[in-house]
Amino acid sequence: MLEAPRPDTLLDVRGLHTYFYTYEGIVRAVNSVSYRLNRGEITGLVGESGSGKSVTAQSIIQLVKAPGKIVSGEVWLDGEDLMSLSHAEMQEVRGRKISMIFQEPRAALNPLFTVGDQISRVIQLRENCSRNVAENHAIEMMRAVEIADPERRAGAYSHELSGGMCQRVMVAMALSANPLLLIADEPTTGLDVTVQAQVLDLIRTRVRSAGSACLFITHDLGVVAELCERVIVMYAGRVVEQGPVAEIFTNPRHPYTQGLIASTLRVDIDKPISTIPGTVPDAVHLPSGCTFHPRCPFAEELCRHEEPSMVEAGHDHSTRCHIVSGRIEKEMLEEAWELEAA
Amino acid sequence: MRLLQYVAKRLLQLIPVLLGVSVIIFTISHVLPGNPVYLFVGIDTTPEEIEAITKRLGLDKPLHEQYFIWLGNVLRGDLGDSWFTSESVAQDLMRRFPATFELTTVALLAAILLGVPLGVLSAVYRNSWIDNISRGVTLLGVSVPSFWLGLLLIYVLFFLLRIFPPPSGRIGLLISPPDRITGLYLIDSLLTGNWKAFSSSAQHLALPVMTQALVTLAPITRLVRSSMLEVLGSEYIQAARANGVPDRQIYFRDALRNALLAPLTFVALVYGNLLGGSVVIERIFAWPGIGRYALESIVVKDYNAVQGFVLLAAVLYVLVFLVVDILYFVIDPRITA
Repeated sequence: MLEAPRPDTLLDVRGLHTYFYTYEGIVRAVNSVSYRLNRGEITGLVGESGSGKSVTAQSIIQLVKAPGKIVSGEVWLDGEDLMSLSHAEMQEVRGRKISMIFQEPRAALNPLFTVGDQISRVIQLRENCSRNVAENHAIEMMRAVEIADPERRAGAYSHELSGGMCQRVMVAMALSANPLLLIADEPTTGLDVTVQAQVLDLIRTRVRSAGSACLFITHDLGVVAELCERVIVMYAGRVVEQGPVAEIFTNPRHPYTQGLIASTLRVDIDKPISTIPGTVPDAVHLPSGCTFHPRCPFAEELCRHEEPSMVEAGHDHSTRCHIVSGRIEKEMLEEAWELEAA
Repeated sequence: MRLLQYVAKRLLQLIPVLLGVSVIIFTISHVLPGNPVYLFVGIDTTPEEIEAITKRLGLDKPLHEQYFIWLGNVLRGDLGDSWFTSESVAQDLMRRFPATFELTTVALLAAILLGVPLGVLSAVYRNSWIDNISRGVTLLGVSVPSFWLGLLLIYVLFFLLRIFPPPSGRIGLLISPPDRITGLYLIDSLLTGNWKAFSSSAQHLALPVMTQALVTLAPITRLVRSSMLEVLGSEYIQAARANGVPDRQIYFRDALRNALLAPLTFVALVYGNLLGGSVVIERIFAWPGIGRYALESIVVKDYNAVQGFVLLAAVLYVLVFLVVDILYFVIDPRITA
């Protein structure tokens, strides 16, 4: 059941399915995923490795690597369905309306071209301007992301720069487009903590001031709490819970979200870290019913057979759980996690 | 400036390498069993005469002294005389090397000009018809021996179809070669405006070049394809795409340069090998190159000629790798002086 998009909605993903056709079978990496991103907001997309976060992002810009294929779904960006665009039209969207920042900044830069060259080429392609103008613009962008001495750094190759510096270059390249949507795929994973904070700050300032939206993929809930307005939790290719950060962190409804939050290290409470038992299920042979049921301390017979649908769990907060929907009458007690861990 | 420094450094490094090569060549030819003096003497030569000849050839001196005499001669360009052609080995090699150089270089250029685009296309359109055709061609090139391919081409394109001239060397029997400037018939005939010689030598080059090129093209294509596939799957290509770079630029600008790094070493290896002469192809096409010269010299135990040939081949090999190292230095900024 989809409501009409609200006016501040920038990206509206509806019923996205992306499957990988492997020898072992079909991997449903993104399985009926729907969510919306609002202008001026940063939305965190969290989940364990293999939950389908990155493939969701790749599906939005239609750069899913083989043997992956977008099977169905709609991706509305600013009132336009990207799925209906041709290959060439989509190329125009990438690097203009949507930009992306990657997990490994050094790997994301071509080793044989200077970073200034790479930024100015993207600018030149987009603006159709002269080489000189593009180069100046590139240096401006590098200055904007606080790269010291940008004139000199523009002539450097990726191997000559630190990881943090490379990520700034990627951010400069991505933001030079003034994109409507910025997708950041774990952009701070490989960076020092201090550099991490600087890069996050950079993304936040630019997104807020430009009124664009940002999809921030991470498995770090601390970063989400600090940076994002909304959060989407994915598990085994499905969105299991989404809502405002404040709401989700204080009142997580899905057992998986509860487990994730309970398993983050907190210095203010003297409590052992609990873990979610088990691992992410084998992507080819997903469990029946609710895919989380083998790891869920509250699972009942119904969870093994019937997949729960998305239900309202509060204002602008929805989740996929039989207990929340009331199909199962049960109290979700926090102690269950500790029992499970012990 | 950085480049000059690098080139200078690499050139200096060549000195010990070449000295090492010369020691090995000299040692091997002097520890080989058999006394070269006996090649000069008849059955009725007296021991005194043998001793005199040994003395005249300097073979009575200690080995290291002989080495320095030999090295001095080599440095002056004197590789000794061939006992078989009774001419100076240096001159023999200089006369024959352009033939090998011309054949090898044209064949390698053809293999690169065909193999690289074919490899790129097979990677870009993986498992498409073009990939399948390229797979067929390369399989043929890898598995068919060059002597058989050469004979087949002669049979079909000369004997049956009469498209190309018979395998009678570098130029038609009744056509005089162009005046020697570089020794390369194609270049010399162009420089002297000798169109008759140009067309004849181009036609004579065709079959051996085809044979050599097809054999060389196969591995180049496969290497470029696999290297290109690896690069196309890399993060920076994904990032370039995400930044809206069009496909054509992705393939030919972002990917190709990276994808050529690995095959470059292979090309150098092949070129270095081929410059030493391809015995099989030169023999089949009666090509007067250094490969055939080496073979003939070995058969008649012409030590000076063999020694000279091995030295030339080694020097060429080292030079090719010098050029490739410099190319790498220019292409790949990660390599530092």
